Amino acid sequence: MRSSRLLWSVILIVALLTTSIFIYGFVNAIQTVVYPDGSNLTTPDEERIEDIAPSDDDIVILSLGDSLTEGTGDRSENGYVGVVKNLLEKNEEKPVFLHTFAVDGYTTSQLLDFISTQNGTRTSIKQANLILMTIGGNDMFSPGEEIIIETSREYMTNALENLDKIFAELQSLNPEADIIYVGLYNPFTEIDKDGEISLFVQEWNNEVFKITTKYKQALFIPTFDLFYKNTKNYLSSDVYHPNEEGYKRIGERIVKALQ
Amino acid sequence: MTNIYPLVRNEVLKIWKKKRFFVIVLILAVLIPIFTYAQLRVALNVQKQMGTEDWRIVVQQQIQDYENRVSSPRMQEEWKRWYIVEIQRLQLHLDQNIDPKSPNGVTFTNQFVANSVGLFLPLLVLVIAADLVAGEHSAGTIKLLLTRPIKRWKVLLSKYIALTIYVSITVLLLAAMSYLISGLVFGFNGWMQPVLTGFQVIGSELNINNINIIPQWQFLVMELGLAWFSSLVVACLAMMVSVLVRSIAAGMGIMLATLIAGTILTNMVSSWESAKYFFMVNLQTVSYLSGAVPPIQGLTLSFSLLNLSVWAMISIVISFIVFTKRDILN
Amino acid sequence: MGTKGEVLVLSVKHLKKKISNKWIIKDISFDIYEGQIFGFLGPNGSGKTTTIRMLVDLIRPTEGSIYVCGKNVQTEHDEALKNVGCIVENPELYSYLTGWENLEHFAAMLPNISKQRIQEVVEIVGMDQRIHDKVKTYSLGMRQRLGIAQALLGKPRLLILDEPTNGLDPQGIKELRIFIRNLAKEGLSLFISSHLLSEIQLMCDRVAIIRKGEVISVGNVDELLEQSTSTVLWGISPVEQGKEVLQSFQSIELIQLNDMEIDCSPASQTVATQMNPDEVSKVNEQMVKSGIQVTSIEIKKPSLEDMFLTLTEGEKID
Repeated sequence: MRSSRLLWSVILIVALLTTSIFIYGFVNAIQTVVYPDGSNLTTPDEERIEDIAPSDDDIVILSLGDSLTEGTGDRSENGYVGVVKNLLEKNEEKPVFLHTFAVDGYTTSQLLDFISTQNGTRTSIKQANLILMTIGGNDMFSPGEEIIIETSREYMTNALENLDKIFAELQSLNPEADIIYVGLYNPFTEIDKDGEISLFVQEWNNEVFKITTKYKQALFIPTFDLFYKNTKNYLSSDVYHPNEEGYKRIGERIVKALQ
Repeated sequence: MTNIYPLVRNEVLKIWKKKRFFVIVLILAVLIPIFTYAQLRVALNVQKQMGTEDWRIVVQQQIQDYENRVSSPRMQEEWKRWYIVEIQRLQLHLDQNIDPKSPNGVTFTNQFVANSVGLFLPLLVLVIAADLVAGEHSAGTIKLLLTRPIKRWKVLLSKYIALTIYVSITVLLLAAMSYLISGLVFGFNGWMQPVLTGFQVIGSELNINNINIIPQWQFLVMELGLAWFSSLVVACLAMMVSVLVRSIAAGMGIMLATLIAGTILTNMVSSWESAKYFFMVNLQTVSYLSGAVPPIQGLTLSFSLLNLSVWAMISIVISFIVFTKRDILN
Repeated sequence: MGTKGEVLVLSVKHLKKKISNKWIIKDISFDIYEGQIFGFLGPNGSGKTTTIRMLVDLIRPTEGSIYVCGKNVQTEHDEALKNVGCIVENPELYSYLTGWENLEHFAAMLPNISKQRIQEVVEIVGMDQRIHDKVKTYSLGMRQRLGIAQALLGKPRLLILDEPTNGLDPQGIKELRIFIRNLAKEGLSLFISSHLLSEIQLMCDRVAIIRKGEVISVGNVDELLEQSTSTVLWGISPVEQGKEVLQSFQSIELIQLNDMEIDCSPASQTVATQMNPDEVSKVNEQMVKSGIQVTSIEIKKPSLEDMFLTLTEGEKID
């Protein structure tokens, strides 16, 4: 009847309109995907991240660097970063958030690139109250390969230069946050009979310490002593990364240093 | 002799009066709020974990997470490929300062359509299509329908046209309802927000030579166009089954089993390459727009569209032959 | 041959249908003329429904042809079926639509049906009261009427009704009979299948009786009745000798009647026979010659039902 006629007209008009829109969209999609016509991408503007600063209401921890920071070897998968987070949460009575940006195998040059170019990282750096970092080990040693001190020393100079730039970049982005550099330890004490490797590791640590003194927020946390005696008790099954216990010792030391 | 127009009107009104369409509205009205709530929880959860609403940090975190997974030696090759492409895709969004998941009604709709095209939307279409010929058989009205001075192919054609009309309206309804309902939670803006499209996945490489930034409304229209096409193909196949088995329940069962088998196949990350000739694994046409890794290597939008068209054409031919030739015995 | 007009409305010629290697319809031919009411009788499984479905192009014949008003149903579907209104088996209409919506639906499938015409057929079947109710609320009788209304919409020249009295009460059946008569008076031809033979006898001008897919008898109802043999009851004594005399005639058949009113047991001395009434005097003469006492001769005029049972030998499905 009359309602049927109205219903039919409405359905027909709606269907005709939507069908034509869908056909248009369908053709448009084929053009875009199957017959693409170049890109309209432009190089993004220099800095499109918002101007933000760390907040006092909570603690944002940003972790940067290599597998040590990522927590490789820890079965609970928190690493020392997780230990720091848990302890701070307990001590400070504030919400603590964690941004874990560390990647297995990162070298100083990769990290420098990472913090200079990645929007997300730069935003996070600006927001962070505390930055935790391990880097440099992969510049000088490759896991599983024989350690030749002479070769490693050749890489050291470049790594230190990069590290200096990393600190500079971090400070320019965020002049308030504490930047903690966790020093290297010697996982090879068992095979290092004449102490050659230990000496070299300490040499690196010393050079890094020199750099940290140039930046007022930077703090060098030594770990060499923590892993010097009974080393293998604190190392995971790969005899390179710390185990849960090893990470716990690092984390506790960091929190003590911050108090 | 008699025009096809009144026949189409008949069929459209019958579907409406049979309240088939209300079933669809009801399903959507119940499920979309659930999906919206789930999405809200995801967003809240991320914020709770990260202590930030800044999407860049969230995306960056995701990239780093994927990076670590890719470097893990235990990672399976197929998954690795997926992660590598995904990293490149996310990285591009970060570089272009384009939020891939900005929380608003339009983005939600975009994602909902993309997730619906493989199973949910076909199921909705099935509600109407499975009934169209089988329903006339089981009610016995087919005898009245085919004893009119109208050739059988015209009767069937009118049903196909009516079906197309409802497929269009169903897709529209899905989009409209998901926009309106999610908009209440996430806000109604986002039409002009930029999105990236034009990705081509070659092996584990994302070809970014043809990537374009387009406003989100345009992306949504393209997406709906592809979803509409996929739905139409499912509708044609359901129609063929409806013609062949003459029982609503059996027809529904067959189509359901086929579609669900398709999603299972898709999820198995098939190394069985000839599985790409099944129509079910080709239904996810929308994912080519946002550059997701196809479930089987070698699938492209053109292949999928061609494959679906062939399936649809064959089903239409079979339907017409059977429908016009068959003796109505029951 | 036709009783009313001489215009051929339906012509069925040597219709045969084979379904899964079995001949369901072996050879059916008949004609229906304008204004005629044609009855189609047959037991279940005789091929009645299959034949009707072939008439309206729901089933394609394997051999033979069907012409409606000179148009071949198979090759000129539209032109032929334009002249046909039909209800095949039950009047299955769209139960989720109202009666009126159903009529609108079928009107849309016919050329040039106005709203007035829909109103007209609603009045013809007397359904104005409930026409805007949903069909699912209708009784079977109302559905039957709506079915007829639907069949009449296109002003057909041939109306095919399959078991039209199914589910109707006696009053309804009587009304339908009058209704059908009136339609025929207006020049409409009707094809009615039924298993209610008395109904067919009351309603139809001509009748075709089919069995196992074959027409075993076709003609005007009166002619058919006249042609056929009658049941003759012989009251004779002694019974056994009398039976011998009866059996000596080739054309006489002894039968058993299942009629409770007639006692055919040997003690009653009554023998039932199937024979041509014209032969009664000849037989009687022979009886007297043989010294048999004939106490009574009763000639029963056959009903169509008797004839039907005789012809189909009471057989159901094989």
